[in-house]
Amino acid sequence: MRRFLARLRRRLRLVWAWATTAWVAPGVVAAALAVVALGRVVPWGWPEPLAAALVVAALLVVVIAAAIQRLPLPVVARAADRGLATHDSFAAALQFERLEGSFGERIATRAESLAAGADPATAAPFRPYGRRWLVAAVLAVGAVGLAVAPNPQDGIRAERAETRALLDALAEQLTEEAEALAEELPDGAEDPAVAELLAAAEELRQADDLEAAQEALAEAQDALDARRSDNLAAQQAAAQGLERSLAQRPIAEAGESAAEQLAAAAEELDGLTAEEQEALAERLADLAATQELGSPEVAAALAEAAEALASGDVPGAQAALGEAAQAQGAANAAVDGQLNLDQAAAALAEAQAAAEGSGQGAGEGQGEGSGDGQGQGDGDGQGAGQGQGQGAGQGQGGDGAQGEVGGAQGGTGEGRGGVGTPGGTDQPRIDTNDDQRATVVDTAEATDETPLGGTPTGDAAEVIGEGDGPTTASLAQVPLSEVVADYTRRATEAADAQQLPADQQELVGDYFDLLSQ
Amino acid sequence: MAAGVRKVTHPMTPEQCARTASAIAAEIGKVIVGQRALVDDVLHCLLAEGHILLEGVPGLGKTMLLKTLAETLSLPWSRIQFTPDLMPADIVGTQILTQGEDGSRELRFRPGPITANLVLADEVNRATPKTQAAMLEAMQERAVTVAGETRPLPRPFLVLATQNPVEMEGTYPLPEAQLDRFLLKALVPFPSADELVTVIERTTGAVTPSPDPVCDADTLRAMVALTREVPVPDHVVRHAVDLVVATHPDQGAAPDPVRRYVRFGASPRGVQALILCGKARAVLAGRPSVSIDDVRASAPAALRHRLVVGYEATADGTSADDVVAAVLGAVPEPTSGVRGAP
Repeated sequence: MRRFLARLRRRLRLVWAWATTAWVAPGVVAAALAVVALGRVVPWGWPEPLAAALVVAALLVVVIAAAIQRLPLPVVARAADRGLATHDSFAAALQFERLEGSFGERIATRAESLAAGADPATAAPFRPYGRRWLVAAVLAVGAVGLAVAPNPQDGIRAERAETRALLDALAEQLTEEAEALAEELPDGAEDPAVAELLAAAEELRQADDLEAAQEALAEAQDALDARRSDNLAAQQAAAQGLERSLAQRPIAEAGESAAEQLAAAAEELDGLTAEEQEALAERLADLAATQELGSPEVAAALAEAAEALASGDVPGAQAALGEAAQAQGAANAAVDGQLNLDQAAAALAEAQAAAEGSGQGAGEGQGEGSGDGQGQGDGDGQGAGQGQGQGAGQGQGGDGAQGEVGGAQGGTGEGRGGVGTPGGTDQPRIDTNDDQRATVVDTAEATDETPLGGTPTGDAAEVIGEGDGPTTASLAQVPLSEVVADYTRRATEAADAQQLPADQQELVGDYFDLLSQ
Repeated sequence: MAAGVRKVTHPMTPEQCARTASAIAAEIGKVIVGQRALVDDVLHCLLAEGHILLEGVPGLGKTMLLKTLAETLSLPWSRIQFTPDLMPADIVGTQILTQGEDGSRELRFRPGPITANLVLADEVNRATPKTQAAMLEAMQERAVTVAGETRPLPRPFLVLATQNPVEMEGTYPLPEAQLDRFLLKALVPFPSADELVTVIERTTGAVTPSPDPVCDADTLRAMVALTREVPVPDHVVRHAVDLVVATHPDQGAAPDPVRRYVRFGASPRGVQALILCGKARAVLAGRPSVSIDDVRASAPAALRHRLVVGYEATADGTSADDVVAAVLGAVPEPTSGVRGAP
C-alpha cells in the first residue's frame, strides 16, 4: 500500500502542477498580453522580453513549488480514497496500522488488495480545464500577434538602443584612453586628465539620452580646458628642443636627459679650461635664447649661468646650472601633463563629435574627419626654405642644397632658411588618405625641383638665389613616417650649427615636433 | 430452530455479519415489496441498538415489516396501538393482586407489551404525553420500573414507532426531547405502481408469502457487538461532528437555510447516531471501517427529526430534509486538499 501511495504522491505533484498551471495560465498570459500591449504605447525596449520572462518565470515557480510541496501520507491516502472510491480504506489503514484484532488485519488486508490493482493515474487523473486553457490560448494568440505585428514604437526603440550602444562605446573608449594615460604615469602618480576621463565615461554610462551625454561631455571638456595652458606649443618646443639639442651636442660627459646634463655640466665646470668655459658660456647663452618663449625659468637660469661663466664665476654658474636642471625637469613634467590634458581633451572632443553626429541623424555616418592642416601664409625669408605646402617661399642662401632646409647639406655654406611669416598655421601639409598614412611631399623626388644655389661640397661661391619652391604636391609622395626622422635630424643639426637664426630655431623645432607627432 | 438459521457464536466476522444481514433483508424482501431503504434503516437500527420512528400514511406495510422482521429473526414481538386513553401501565406492565391455591394473595408483575424484543408502537403520537414519556423512558433506559422495581427489557430491543403525518386531529406530537431518543426517523414512501402491482399479487392470492427465520437472538447480539467494535477513522468522526455543528444556526459553518429556518440544531445524540449508523452501514457492506460515505448516507434519517424548524420553514415549504440537504451541501466531503486531485 505504501508503495502505491508513494507512486500516487508523485502523481499528485504532477496533477498539482498541471492544475496550478491551468489555474494561473489565464492570469499570467493576460499579464503578458498587457505588457506587450503596453509596449505598443510606450517605447520601452523590454515589454516582449518581460512578457516571455513572465511566462517562463510562472512555469518555473509552478514546477519548483510542485517539487518541494509537502504531501503527507494521510493527504495522499485521502486522495486515493476519493479517486478510487475506496470508502476511506487507505486512510483507515494508515490510522489503524497498529490496531490489533481482526479489524486491524482486515483493514490492512483490504487496503493492500485495493492498492494491488490500483493505478495512480486512475486515482488522480489529469483534468482538462478546457475553459481555462481556452481563455489562456486566446490571450496567448493575442499576445504573440501583438508581439510579431509591426510596432510603431520599434523605430524609437531601435534609436534608443543605438544611442545606448553609442554611449556605452564612447564610455568604453574614454575609459581605455584614461587607462592608456594612467599606464604612462609613474607609480602612485595621479593625473587630472585621467580622473576627468573616467568621470566623463561614468557620466556617459549613466546618461539616459544624448542630451545628457553631450552635457556631461561639455562639462568635462570645460573642466579640462580650465587646466590647459595656452602656451603649450611653446613650452613643448622649448623643453623638447633643449632635450634634443643637448642630446645631439652634449655639454657634459654624463647624463642623458637635458636636466642630467645640466647638472653634470655644473659639476664638471671646475675641470674646464678657460676656452672651454667661454665656449660653454656661449652655448648656454644660445640655449637660453631658445627657451625664452617656452620656458622662461630655464632661459633665465641658463642666461644666468652663461653670464656667471663668462665672468668667471664658476660657483655662480654651477648654482645657475643646477636651477636650470630643476627648471628643465619641471618643464618636462608640465609638458607631459599638458600633453595628457590635450590627449584627454581630444578624446572628449572626439566623443562629443560622435555624440553630436549621432544626434543629428541616425544613419548619416560620420562627418568630415580630415581637417585641412595646410598652411596658407606667404612668407618672406632668407635661406633655403622648403617651399612645402601652399606657401610660396622666397629664400636666399648659399650652398643650400636643392632648397632644402637651412642648407643642411651645404657644407661650409650658410643658408638661412626662409620660413613664411605668420599668415597661416605653419602646419605641414598632411594628407590623410584611405589607409591612414600621412605623406609629405618629398622634394628630392619632385620633378620640378628648383635649386636655389650652393653645392653639396660647398666649394662654390655663395649664390643668392630667388625662386619659388614647389607649391603643390606631386605624385612623388612618400610616407611622412619614413622621412620625418631624417628631416628632423637634419634640421636639428642645422640649428645646432647656428645655421638658423636664433629667433627662428624654436619655430623650426616646433615644426618638426609637430611633424613627429 | 429452523434449518436456515445462521447460528454464529461471538465473535463473528464482518463477512459473516454482512452475509447474515443480507439474508435477513432477502427474507424481508419476500414479504415487503420495495422499501429497500426502509428495510436498511430498520437493520441499521437493529445493529446499532437504536429505535426507529416511521412516518407514513397507514397501509404501507409498517406492521407487516415488523412482523416479518420478527419472524426472520425468530424473536418475540408485540404491537401497541397508541390511543388517547392508553395508560403507561398498559405499556410497561403493572402489578396485579393474585390469589394462590392456598388462598394467599400476592402482588405479581405482569409485563406490558413493551417487554419484547421487537415492539411496534403504532401511531405513537395519539397517546398522551404521559404515556409517550413512559414508553420513551423504557426505550432509553431499556428497562421498566414498576412499583419501585426496575426490570430490564430483553436484548436485543427495538421499538418501531409509527406516526401518521396527515391526521393531526387528536394527536399529541412528540416533543423534541423525546424525538431525539429515536436513532432514526424513516419516511415510508408510497410504493411505485409496479411495486403496488406486486403487493396486490402477493396479498390477494391464495398463498401469502412468509419469511424463513435466518437468525436468532444470540446471533443478533453478536452482530450488535461486532457493530460496536467497528473502528472509525478520526477524519470520519470529525466530519460527523462538522455536520451536526452545521445544523446549529449560531455556528459559522451553518448554511443559510439553517440560519433562516432552524431554531435548534441537532444534539450530541445526532453525532452518536451518525457514527452508529455509519458502523452499521459498514458492517452490512462487509467493510471493516466506517467511511465518510456511511456517515453522509445516514445523515437524513439520523438528523431530520433532531432539527427544530420554525414556522418560517413550513410557510416557505421547506422541510427538515431540505435543511439536512443544505447542511450536506455546506459541509462537503473533505478532499485531499491537493489542487487538481480528488
